[in-house]
Amino acid sequence: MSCQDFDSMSVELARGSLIDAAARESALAHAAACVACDARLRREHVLSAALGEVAAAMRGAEAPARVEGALLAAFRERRSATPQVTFESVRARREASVLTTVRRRALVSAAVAASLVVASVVAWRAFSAKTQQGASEIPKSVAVNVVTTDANQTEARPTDTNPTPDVQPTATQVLRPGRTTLASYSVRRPAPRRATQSVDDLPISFKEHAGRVYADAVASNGAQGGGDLGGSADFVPLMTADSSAPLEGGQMVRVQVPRAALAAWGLPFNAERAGESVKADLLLAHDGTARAIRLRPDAPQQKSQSGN
Amino acid sequence: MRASQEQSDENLLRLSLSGDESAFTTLYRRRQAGLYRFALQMCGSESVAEDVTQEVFMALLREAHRFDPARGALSSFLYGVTRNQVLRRLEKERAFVALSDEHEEGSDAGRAESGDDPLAQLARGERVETVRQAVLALPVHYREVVVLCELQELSYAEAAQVLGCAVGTVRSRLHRARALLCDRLRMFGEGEEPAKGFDAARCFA
Repeated sequence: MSCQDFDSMSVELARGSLIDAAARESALAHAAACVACDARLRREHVLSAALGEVAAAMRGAEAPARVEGALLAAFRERRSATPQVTFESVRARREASVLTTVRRRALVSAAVAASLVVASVVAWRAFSAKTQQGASEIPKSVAVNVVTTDANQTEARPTDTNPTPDVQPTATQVLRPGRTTLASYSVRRPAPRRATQSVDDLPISFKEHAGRVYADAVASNGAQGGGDLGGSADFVPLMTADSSAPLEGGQMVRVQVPRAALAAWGLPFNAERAGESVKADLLLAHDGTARAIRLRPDAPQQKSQSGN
Repeated sequence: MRASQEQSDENLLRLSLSGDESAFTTLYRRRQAGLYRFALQMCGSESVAEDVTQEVFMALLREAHRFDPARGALSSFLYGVTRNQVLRRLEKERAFVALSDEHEEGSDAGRAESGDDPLAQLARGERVETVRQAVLALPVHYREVVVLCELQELSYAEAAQVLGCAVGTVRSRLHRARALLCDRLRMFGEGEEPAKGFDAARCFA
């Protein structure tokens, strides 16, 4: 046994704790051979004895009688003022309050998810109508400027696959201090969804904007045979009618949405799992429109209710 | 149903909540001394220990629903409430009143027992006071493990339940606390006339 091993056992030896007999013998043999460890063990014995004396000296200490008198007076007053409660009723009350809280949260989550789905459908229809009216009004792709909190600014670059019109990046808007900022951006027409979408097919600007997480998610899900957006650490901007408006603050809401709703926001999803729902964090502008989404990496793969 | 000494703490609590005064009295008398001593050893003030003990049982009457038998024994729950009360007071006052500064009504420290050598009693009393002061001077998170495990003689598992931490944490804190006590008591012994019968410098060298 080493001195370090003995050190961890010296307190238990001095306190008389239950120790394996073989370990005790080994420790005592070490103490007999090592002067320093023997001194350590004697110190611990003396300390244990001293603490025992303190405990014994205070063994008779107790609260004075007036405490019991005050408590009984309070007990009687409480008994006469309030209806009798039983332990079972106390426990039932506790369980009921927990259940009420869970139900309330579930209702709120469902209401938020439903309103977001409706809002996204309305926005998608409006976007589609605009697109049909004048496709030339909306550039096929625009430069996106992403600024992180340490002021690393990524400049937009034209891509090979999508010739970029001359669009100047607009000013960035900080959603929350200390976090990755959201750049204001224009609507980008989504690329056709394919079962295996290569990362290289994405415009560089969009890829950079969504960040490496989005690109990795698409690539990994592409390998699985489905264009499904996995859990990501960064927010992905949503394509809504108000995407061009600068984002001036907002709030984040955690929701559970059907995967099919992702299409309304221009995000790829696995059609085979369209009926399932996914947990996500939504960034809402002051007017309540969803501006960005972040899927939760540990989202439960739940089947949606019929009709959802 | 009349409360009796054989009833468990949980049964006594259940009877108390249904209005049985004798059950509440039995429960109080069974647990109050340990809680009072714990508070006293933690803060060193009899008046604070008295207030804390009263507040613990008042809280038990008011918020019995916080006790969940599935999570542990009622005694551990009461120790936990006492600990929280003491920590709150210590945080507020940020000091302790040494026992020697107060009139000790209930303490047996230094009290000579019939038939004992008075000098031996005096030496033992001084020794006890020295160690008690050393415990009170420990940082709070070390002090509470010493009080629970050494003075209240709770097991590691019971202390872990009171403190809401792992058994290993209790063990390691106690080791460290005892090392601090050894150092502190050695300091008391160096450069001072040792108390009769207690050579701290030699014992803790």
